[in-house]
Amino acid sequence: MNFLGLLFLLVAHYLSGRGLLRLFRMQLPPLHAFCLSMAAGVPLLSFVPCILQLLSFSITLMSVSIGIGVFTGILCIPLLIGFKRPQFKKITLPFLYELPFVAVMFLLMAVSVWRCFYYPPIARDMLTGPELLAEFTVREGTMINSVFSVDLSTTNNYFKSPYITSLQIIYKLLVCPFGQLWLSVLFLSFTMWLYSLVRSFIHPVIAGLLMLFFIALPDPYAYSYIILYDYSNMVFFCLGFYFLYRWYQEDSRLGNFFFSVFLFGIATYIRTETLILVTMIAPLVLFLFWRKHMAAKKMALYTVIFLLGTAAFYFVCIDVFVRNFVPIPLDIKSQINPNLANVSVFFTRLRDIFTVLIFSEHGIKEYGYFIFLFFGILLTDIIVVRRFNTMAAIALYGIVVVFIGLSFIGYLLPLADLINTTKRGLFKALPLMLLYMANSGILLRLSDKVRMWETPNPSR
Amino acid sequence: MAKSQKFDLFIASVIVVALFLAIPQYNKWFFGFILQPPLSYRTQLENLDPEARKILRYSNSYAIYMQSIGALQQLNIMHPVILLPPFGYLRDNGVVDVDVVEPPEFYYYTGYRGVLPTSPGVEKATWTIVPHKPTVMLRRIHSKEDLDNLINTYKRYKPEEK
Repeated sequence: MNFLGLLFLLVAHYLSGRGLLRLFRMQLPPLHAFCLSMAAGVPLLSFVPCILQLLSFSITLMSVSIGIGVFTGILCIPLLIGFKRPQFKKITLPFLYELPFVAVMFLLMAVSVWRCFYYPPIARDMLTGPELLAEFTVREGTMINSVFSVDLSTTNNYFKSPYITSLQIIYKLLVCPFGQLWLSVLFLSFTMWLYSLVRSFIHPVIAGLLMLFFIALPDPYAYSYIILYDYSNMVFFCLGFYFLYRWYQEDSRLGNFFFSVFLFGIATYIRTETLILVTMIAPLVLFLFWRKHMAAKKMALYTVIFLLGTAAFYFVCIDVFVRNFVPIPLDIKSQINPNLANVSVFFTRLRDIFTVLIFSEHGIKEYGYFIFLFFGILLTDIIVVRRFNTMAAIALYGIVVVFIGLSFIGYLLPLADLINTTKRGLFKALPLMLLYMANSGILLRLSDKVRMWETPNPSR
Repeated sequence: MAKSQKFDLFIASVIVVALFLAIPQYNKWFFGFILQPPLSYRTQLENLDPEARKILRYSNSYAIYMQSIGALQQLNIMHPVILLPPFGYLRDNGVVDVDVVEPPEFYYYTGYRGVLPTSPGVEKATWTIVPHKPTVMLRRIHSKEDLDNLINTYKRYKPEEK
């Protein structure tokens, strides 16, 4: 393992992500800024091998390293323009009573990172697609390589986004033969950010327990070290919703809104069918504009920006990268359900999500009791509290979008099966469920009571 | 006062974590799959070489493919194309613990081209994998008739869904 290469990449992720945050004029708490810089830096660097390939450069250790250096340098320009001497704020350490939760989470994170490093890629979708392409790109110096001379009739995985192929190329060249550690960068930064955010909404003891249920989701946890698209897709889809909320509720600067568009765009770049889900978010965006008393013209303009901004990432993925890197024509029409008049497929898939994937033994095996906990708390809120704050309402909207959207994708694309595509697509709903629970009326009441008991004199 | 409440909360947190880990589903997952996985951490630490890690992850099939390919390399055979039999055929002939992979996976593992009986370019196959109880071995395809016979035999079996 090349530690120097890893260090170089970590710095590059951070600086490119930080530059992007500055470009959108984001003002975030230090831990959030650090975690989000690292997370955003992962997909950003994935563009480097693609750009090199488009410019017909040979993909080698040297060219990729220089490419990353130049790319990071360009993204750092906003940092340099508005350079201020960094203020090292005092880091807030967790309270004593958070330590039991933090210890278990730390252990799970360490195990995930170790497995990510130790095991070679295993998912069949990777070995017949992105990982295969990455391996032979490293050997042959080009993404259009001998893989395309092999019989590929049993797979279409080479048509998928070059997001993983590119990151695997980078990490194989600079870090270790199996690559993959970029997933740990994403997993660690997302988990730390999420915990920090959840404990900002609700008392840390309740936040710790909710996080424990979240991180111990057996199936998503497995995909924190098995490379595939869905974990990354989940991260950026959730972040998109959070920054939409942030723009509406906490910080009206448009930077938050545009950053949200960027994050939904990245989620679409990672899994292109996310564009369908993002389209379903447009009514929410319009509603939020309306609640902000925005002029009709502006509302229309920003909604178009929201949709076109995300669609641009789809275009870059399919019409630029896939079209140029895969010397086999992509026929999207052949993948679409030929019998669209039969809408029963949609309702069957929607029913199966609940009966087969969630409320079943299989569901408990894959997701533990997390989703049961969510529905229990939601039901209690509906019966007892009957009020939802903005974050809870936005998260609920996102969850409904995931359920309806995945059913629609199952109806539209017969290849999107229940047990693989829909099951892993459901990951997108999970952090939103967590954000809902952190803003649940009943849990917030409990949180207030614990806080009052913990600090009886509020002046202290 | 607040200090004692914080300590009480710490005790509460310890109890909550313990109760969480006592839930059978999480108990089995955490103490089994996380702390004592099927492939123990000791074994993992003893096998840090990338090739050993591949064998541990991809199982016996990978090791056998690599051995077979190693034999071809020793014989200095350039650009062989391997006809991959269906899994059902191997199973019916007493082969255990060897899986058949698709041509792209075979290429990923070995760097050699594999074809299925139904693949375009199957006529270029020069070697095939045949049963050699309880495992498999590589066999040269001698002639067009030999290849046709093999393809006809293999086509009687349904390709395995992966």
